[in-house]
Amino acid sequence: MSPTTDPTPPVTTDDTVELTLPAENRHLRLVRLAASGFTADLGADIEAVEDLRLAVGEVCALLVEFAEPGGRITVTYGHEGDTVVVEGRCPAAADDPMTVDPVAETVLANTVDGFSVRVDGRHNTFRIHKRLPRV
Amino acid sequence: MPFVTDFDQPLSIDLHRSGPDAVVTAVGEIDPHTAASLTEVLDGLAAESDLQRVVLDLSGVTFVDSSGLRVLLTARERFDELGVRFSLRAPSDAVRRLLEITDLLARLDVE
Repeated sequence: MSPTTDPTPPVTTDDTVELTLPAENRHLRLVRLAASGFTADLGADIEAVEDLRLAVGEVCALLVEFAEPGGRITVTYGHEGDTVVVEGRCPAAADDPMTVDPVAETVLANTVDGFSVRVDGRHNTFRIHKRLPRV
Repeated sequence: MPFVTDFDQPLSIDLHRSGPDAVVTAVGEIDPHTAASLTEVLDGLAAESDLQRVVLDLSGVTFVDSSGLRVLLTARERFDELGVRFSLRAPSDAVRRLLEITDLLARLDVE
């Protein structure tokens, strides 16, 4: 798919969590773990927690795949009321434009309420959001 | 014959052969970091000439993403071409859910 835009407003709350890691596949567990913990702390049910863990893993894997060698990925977890918003950015490899695998796109479409991936200057970025049902 | 991935990887893989049958048991997480080790085991089996059936036990898989699904789909295509039956055994809730939301459950042989 082509990169898309996401009209969701920016997160303005102060209780955000930010993680910066080497853009390597071996660190994907950490970004997934942070997604689970952050979402669970908001009182989400287990299915929503698993959805966010899966979705964040998918988009971070995408950024890692198309990352500049030696680059670092930054992931920010925040929320607007009952909606979790996760954003990420990573320096992009020079000659390898980012594309989303159809299977990954299907996973994202079925786990979150909205997602976007795009190129912002020299960085690849993503944004996903999901409204949480309360337990 | 046991086959175990590198110590620091969060996925362990056991391979048992019994005549023309092989059972591969994966335990842990299948993601872009670990998927290659599962591919390696399945590729090794596909290179064998006397195989009739491969069962992939996924009951111990706690996480799988699209990279894991691609491994399964690629293996299924390759074993189909070789005339080897490839099936999934006891997929965990995490695996089954991903297969369901991607509508791939019907495309794979699930015991």
